[in-house]
Amino acid sequence: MHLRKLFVIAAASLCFAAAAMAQSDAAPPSQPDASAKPPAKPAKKKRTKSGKKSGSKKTSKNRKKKSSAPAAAVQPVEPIVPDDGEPPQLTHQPVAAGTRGKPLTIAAHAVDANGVFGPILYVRKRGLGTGDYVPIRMIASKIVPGDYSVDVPAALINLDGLEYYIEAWDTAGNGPTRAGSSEVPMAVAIEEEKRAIALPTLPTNVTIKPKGAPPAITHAALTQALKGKPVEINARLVGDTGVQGAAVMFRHAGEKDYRALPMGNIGGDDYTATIPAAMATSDLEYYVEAFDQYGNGPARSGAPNVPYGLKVMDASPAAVPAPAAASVASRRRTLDDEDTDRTIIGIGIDGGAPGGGGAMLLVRPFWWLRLNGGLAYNVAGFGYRGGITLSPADWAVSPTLNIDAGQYLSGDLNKFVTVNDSNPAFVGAVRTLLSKTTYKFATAQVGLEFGSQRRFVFYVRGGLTYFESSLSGAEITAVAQSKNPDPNNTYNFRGDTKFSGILPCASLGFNLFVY
Amino acid sequence: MRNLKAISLLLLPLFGCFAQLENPDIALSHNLCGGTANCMPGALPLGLMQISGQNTFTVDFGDQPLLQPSTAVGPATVNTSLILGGAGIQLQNAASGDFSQVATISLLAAPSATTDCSATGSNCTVLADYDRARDGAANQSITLRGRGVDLITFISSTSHSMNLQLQASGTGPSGAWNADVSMDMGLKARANFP
Repeated sequence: MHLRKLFVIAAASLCFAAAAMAQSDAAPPSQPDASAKPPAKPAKKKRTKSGKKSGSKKTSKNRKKKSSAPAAAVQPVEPIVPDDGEPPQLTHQPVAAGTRGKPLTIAAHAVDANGVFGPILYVRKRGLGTGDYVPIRMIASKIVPGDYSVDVPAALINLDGLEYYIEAWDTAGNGPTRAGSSEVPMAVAIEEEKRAIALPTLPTNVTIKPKGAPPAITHAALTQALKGKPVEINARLVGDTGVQGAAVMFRHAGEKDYRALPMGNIGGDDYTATIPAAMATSDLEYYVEAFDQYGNGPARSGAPNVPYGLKVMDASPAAVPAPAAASVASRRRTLDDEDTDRTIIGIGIDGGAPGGGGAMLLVRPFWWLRLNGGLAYNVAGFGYRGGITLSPADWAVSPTLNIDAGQYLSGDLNKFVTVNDSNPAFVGAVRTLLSKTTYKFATAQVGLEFGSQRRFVFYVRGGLTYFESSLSGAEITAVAQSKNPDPNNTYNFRGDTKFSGILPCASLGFNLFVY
Repeated sequence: MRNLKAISLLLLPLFGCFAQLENPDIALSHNLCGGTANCMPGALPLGLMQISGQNTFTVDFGDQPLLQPSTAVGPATVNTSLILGGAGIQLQNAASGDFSQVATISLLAAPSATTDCSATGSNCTVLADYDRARDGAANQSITLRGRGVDLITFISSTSHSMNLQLQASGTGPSGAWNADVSMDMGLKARANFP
């Protein structure tokens, strides 16, 4: 053992012995206290070196000395516990950190059948030598037998760090048992005390505006998706201070937690994210959110408590139920909506007056816009026609605005017109004129469509039609000349005569979308 | 009252509707002498140009459809206008000379088909006129500038004819002559609903 340590222990033992003697002189006898017994450590030390036998003799001598003391100082005979020959069992939870200027409590637990001497805490400034430890005896707990602790004085905690170890003996001199050692001590880092920093109170009339603002989100909500198909969700995110953390938050209907699906920039302010096909198994709910680069936000389209509903339907068109009138309101759309699963090609047949009827091919580039083109027939002849239809709603009964234009390439109005005149030349000229009736037309109608815009609609329309026909100048001249009674007169219609007009019109028909 | 409202609603789509026939370039020419004869004496100072001893000559349009100022056709009323845009006098025989000595010439319309213009034409309406100082000297033909008169009011609804008169100054062609008088008209017949 190190001489310095030996000296310290010896000094401590003497100190305890003196204290015990003073106590025995001043106080009546009491029950023996192992901790108050003078340690036999120095003797034990010698005895350890010379053998147990000699040690036991010296112990008996000591007892004899005690027994020869004055009667008042005679101590009751303490129960003699046989030396177990084992050092105390010492357990210690290392203390890793302390607070500067605050006492540091170090605790240990030590037990031994012969009683524990100490334990002694040896502490030094971090980095000093092995001879610089300061011994401090740990105090036994009055509550839990075997528990010991000591507060390292605050004055020693004004360092950058401490190092310590603990050493314990039993009262029979067995030991030491150590936690740590002088060579390998346990380190304690001394940290500054963490204090709550009180922010200065700002004047109430000062508004602190964070830099930047959340981006603005423009998003056309989806309402339907096909089961087992990926669902692409697009949004336009515009922010003066950039866009960051754009995501589609989605969940299955009925679930509590949302899953985040990051949105990727696809050019300009447009962002997209695709819900995987594997997730499109049942109805979904989602919303879109984004921050700016300063973390302002989130800006949202939809919200966690008010998400967009996305009905997931079977991929088979036949399984798609026709929209019921009661559900029309929930499927209301705006012109900004996109719907990629809508049928886009179909046929239409209509008829009306005075424009006649037609068979058309329909193409729907957007759900709210239809293009049509096809044949026109008005009993008098055939022609062609084309047009557009705006249907700004997707209801069971949807209003429409329809504009058509076309031209009849042939026509014989003699089927419908009877010319009664006594002048056969006039009749003949008129019939010739009527047999070549061609005209152009343009029609504007408003209407109502009944049924599913996805598959079949029946419609009625009404509006105005403009027509324009050119009557041959030669044939008109022939008509006029046939009525000319004076051979000295000559008619000449130099140019074609234009016959035009605006008339009310009405039509009805149906559209069937097949693809 | 309720029926009136219902009828008004039913007729509402018809407002603004129309059908229209128009030709801005119709020519009707009339031979003054009838045939190839040169009924007009040559080298005479021009004044009232009498045809066959009459102050006026008659042009029969014939019973043409739409040549009525106003005609009811079903719910529509057809209004017709026949605007004279100009007139011309075309010499039929080049051997007769030319119209280079003609100073002025006017085409007038009598108020009705049963009325003749006076010798001075004071009771008639000038339809078109020529002024050599304004329009330049003429040769084989004279072009008269129209005054935008609607001829339809001068055409008899029964005889379908109108009486015209030619008043001129200067000197006519050197030889006896004949000419076609042509009228360039714009026809517009419009049926408005209701």
